[in-house]
Amino acid sequence: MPKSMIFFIIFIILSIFFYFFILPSGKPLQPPSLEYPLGTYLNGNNMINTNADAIVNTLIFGFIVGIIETTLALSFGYFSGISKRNIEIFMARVMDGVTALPRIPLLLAIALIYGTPTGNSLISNFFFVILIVALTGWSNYARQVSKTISENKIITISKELLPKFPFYLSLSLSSTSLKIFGKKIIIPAMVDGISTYTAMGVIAGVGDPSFPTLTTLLTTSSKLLPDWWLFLIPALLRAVLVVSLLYIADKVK
Amino acid sequence: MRILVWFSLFLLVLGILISWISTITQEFSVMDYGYGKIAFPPKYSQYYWSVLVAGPPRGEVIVNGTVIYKGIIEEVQFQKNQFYVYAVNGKIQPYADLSPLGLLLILLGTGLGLRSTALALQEKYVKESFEIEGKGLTTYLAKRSGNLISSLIVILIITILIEIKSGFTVIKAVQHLLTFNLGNGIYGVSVDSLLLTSLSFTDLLTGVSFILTVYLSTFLTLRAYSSKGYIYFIISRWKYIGNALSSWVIGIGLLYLGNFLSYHHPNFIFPVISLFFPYIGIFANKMLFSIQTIPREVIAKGLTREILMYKHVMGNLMLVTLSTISAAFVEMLIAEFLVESIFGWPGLGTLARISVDSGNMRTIEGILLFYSTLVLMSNAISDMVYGFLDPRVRK
Repeated sequence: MPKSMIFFIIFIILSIFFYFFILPSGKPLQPPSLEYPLGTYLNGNNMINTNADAIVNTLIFGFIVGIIETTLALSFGYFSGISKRNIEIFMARVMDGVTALPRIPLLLAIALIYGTPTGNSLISNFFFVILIVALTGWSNYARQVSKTISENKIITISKELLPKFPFYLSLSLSSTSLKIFGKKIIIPAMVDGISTYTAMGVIAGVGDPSFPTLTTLLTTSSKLLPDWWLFLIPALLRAVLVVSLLYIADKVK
Repeated sequence: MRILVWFSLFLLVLGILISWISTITQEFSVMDYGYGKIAFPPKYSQYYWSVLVAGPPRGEVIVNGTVIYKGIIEEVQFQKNQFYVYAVNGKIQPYADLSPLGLLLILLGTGLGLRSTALALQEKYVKESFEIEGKGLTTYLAKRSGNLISSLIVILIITILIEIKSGFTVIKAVQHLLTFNLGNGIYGVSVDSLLLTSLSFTDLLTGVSFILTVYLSTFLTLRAYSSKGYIYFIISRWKYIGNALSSWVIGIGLLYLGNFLSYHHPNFIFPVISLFFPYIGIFANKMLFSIQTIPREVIAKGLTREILMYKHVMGNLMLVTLSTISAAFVEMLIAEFLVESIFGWPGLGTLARISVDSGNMRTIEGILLFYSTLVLMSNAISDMVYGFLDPRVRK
């Protein structure tokens, strides 16, 4: 197991532990001290717990987006890859159309339709945002899957010769590619989900108060400049999280 | 080829100058007069009010030479019928409509400049002259135009669906889009006006950051590839640094630094650093690992270092850069949205933030449509320019 993976697992275990194990809270906005090693948050909560909550929520977001995007990319890409030329071209245009969408403004518009603006933020259900982020982010990966499958020589010949391409045959011919792609796509899709939610949070304050993420902590901190522990520690944790994920993704590739 | 280099430089300077001119603000008043018990404000929404820089326009009612009302623009009631003058005062950006032109010139100048500089260097060191080949150009242009149209149709359909969701009929929604008239947005100012005035500032920030990023990352990639020294080491790891310390994290970090140094008025420099710092490394990293290694048989020919570098490596690098430049531009535009909203830079990002926070759907729709058009146009222009200048891109 690569060192990056071991480090990542320890990081996650610690976050989950402090997600459930609640440390004593204190007065709001206490700087780091022996009693509160990472300080306290706006509501007086121990920053160790607040950061752990944020990491777990960020990962939940990334993980679900990753799963949905990977599933959509593999299934759409697979069906496009095994389809006859005309259908394949049509499906490719659909994928290109989704990729060309201006994702952030579109997501903001959808979040605004279903969310509640408060004057300085937009409250939007956490799971609803997961869904819309995932539904707009799969197409690029699907294009890669489709291209690889349609370039498989046996599939190309079978598509030309057989009037109807048997499903079980195409699936068995593509299974290795699909497995490899599944492993390759999932972590970049997670990072993509986290980054997109970050952009929505930073630009327009999109978030769900019941599920604060690292972005929520960082955007809140930009309004409380003297309280440095609200920024530095979540920024460092976000860096660790994103770099670990990217590093693992590179190792998987 | 040198003429093309100078021409692209001219386009860049002109683009930046036009963007800067479009940000100029000046005092402006629009007045109307009438007689009655209610004073009605004059039509003011269509002017380029610089609301993100100077705040929304304010109303002023004058009766018998005395100002009797000063405040938000609304109807003002009197006790009896009388003559009144209603003035709407504020600051406008009179040249805001130049902003799309500025952005397109910057994009065109950057791409053209990059390609022509590479060709000029190849001419100088490899003694190979450049000729434009027309083969396959028509098919390539037709294919690109087809892509542009299909993407535009998808975006128009989505915008129409959002309009319908906001309560408009299909006919009204189509009419709004065809006339590019999205009605009034925040502060009662027209959405078109809000978009153009904020685009001016986005232009200026994108222009400077994008030019610096593209030119310097290309230069760094070439240096890294040729020396494989410390520049190579830094660039090969910058992907992680750039992603971990993305533009908005650097932006907030700079806000903290400014606060620590008691500098509370972040200007143009802070947003430029926030955009430039991570992206130069990310682009250089992407390019560095996309260049194909020079084949052994080419090295075995005993060609000089200049020929290997300027013909093979640079040729390869240009192909990678040209095919990714519009994607890089779009990525930077998104990052700019984030940076703008952190620093309060009065561009499209800040406009998006204010519109979402105040629940103004019309302005968000406008941003969606405007941004999509810009991105698609920039993609189409860069594709066409590179297809014209480099036959390899057409494949």
